[in-house]
Amino acid sequence: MDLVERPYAMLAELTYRCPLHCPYCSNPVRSANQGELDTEQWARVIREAATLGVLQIGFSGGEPLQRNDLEALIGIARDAGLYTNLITSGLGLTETRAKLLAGIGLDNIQVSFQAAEGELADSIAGVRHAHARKLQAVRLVRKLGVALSLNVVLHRFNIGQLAPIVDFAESLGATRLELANTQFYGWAFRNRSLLMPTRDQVDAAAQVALAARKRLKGVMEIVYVLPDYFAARPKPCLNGWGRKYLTVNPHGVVLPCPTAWEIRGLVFESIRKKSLAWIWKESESFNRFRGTEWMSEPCRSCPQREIDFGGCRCQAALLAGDPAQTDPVCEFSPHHLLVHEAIAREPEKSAVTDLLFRQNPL
Amino acid sequence: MDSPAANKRPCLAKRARLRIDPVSGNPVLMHQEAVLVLNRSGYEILRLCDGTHSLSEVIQELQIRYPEAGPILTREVPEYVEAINQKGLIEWI
Repeated sequence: MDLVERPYAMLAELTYRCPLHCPYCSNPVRSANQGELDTEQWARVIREAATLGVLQIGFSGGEPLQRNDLEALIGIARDAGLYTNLITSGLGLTETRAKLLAGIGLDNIQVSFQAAEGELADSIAGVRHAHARKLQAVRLVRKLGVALSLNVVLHRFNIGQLAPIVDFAESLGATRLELANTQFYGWAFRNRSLLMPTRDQVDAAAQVALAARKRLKGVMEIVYVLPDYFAARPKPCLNGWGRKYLTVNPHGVVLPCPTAWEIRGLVFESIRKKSLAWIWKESESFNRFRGTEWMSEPCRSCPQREIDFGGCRCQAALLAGDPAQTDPVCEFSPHHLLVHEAIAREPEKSAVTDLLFRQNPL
Repeated sequence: MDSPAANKRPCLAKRARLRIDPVSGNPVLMHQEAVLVLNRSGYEILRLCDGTHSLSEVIQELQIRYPEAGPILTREVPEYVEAINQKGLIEWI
């Protein structure tokens, strides 16, 4: 049985450095003193990815604009035929850089916003005037005719303002709006009790998103990612471990997903030592949770096992203490009570300023 | 939503790009987060959605290239373009 397909998409996390301090960042909380890949190493990874079958590449971070070779790397990806997406805060996008990127043929730029309104947005980003600088970046992008998507991470402090967020995205001329409920990994996990929305908030937001999706069909695609803590069944995380996606982190470590690095007990290979193809096909870490053989009950005999793949390995590690367990989000998980309690618990504090803000790696 | 008026020319949106997948040999339409696998006729239709042909010119062009396809093109081409338009991947120039 051949379980190994080809990867379709790669996330290139160029750096963990970022001018923002969002308390829901999915970057690892622990910092590693391993140094970032250089331009030549990234160039090699990108070309190897294209050969392996990758069709789309996302340049992310941290803030990818912190790297002054970003334009060169996007150019290499374009030359390899890849669909290129820049995932950015917008901070650092000067007119010169925007023109360069448009000239190279960047296919899409995704800019994050923290809210529709500046004061709240800046308080969440932990940086003054960040919102205004993002607006400047977006205007540049629109002027140059590069396709624009917006991403807004949702949590207790902004989920109640979904309607203004949709209007805001529409007014900026975005072709796609991702309304992404906070996923509780990395910094977000540390801030879980404060960021967690209420059930009422989640239900109301889903209604707003649904109505907006209908109204804007064909104009602006609206993606509303349901918070998995509130679902009865887990998300089919990555469509299965090592099946379609891969991530290369700033240090060159190759991961099935950006947060997998924090799973204890798994050793992930680096492109400094192995080829991307070898890591994808042969490495122990990528093969560890492929297929269904690794599953224990209740997943093993579950009719859903090839639909949700047992959910998220990172979440199983984080909540149940073992990445091979059923994702505790699943109602059949013996650890499901942990998720239930996390939703039900009222936070002791309730202000944005009480959050633990993301720090840059040392 | 932009409506496909008769005098307008369909053009693949800037955020979408056509190519042949080197691994499978299938034509694909790539956009932001997704890759749509196309059949050959879908690919031929979308290749002509370049902003220089009206919908009826796309049909004419395909009738010249594939005379064996017959009158079915008159119905199927607009339907196909509309399906892609519904995904927000067509601009009308």
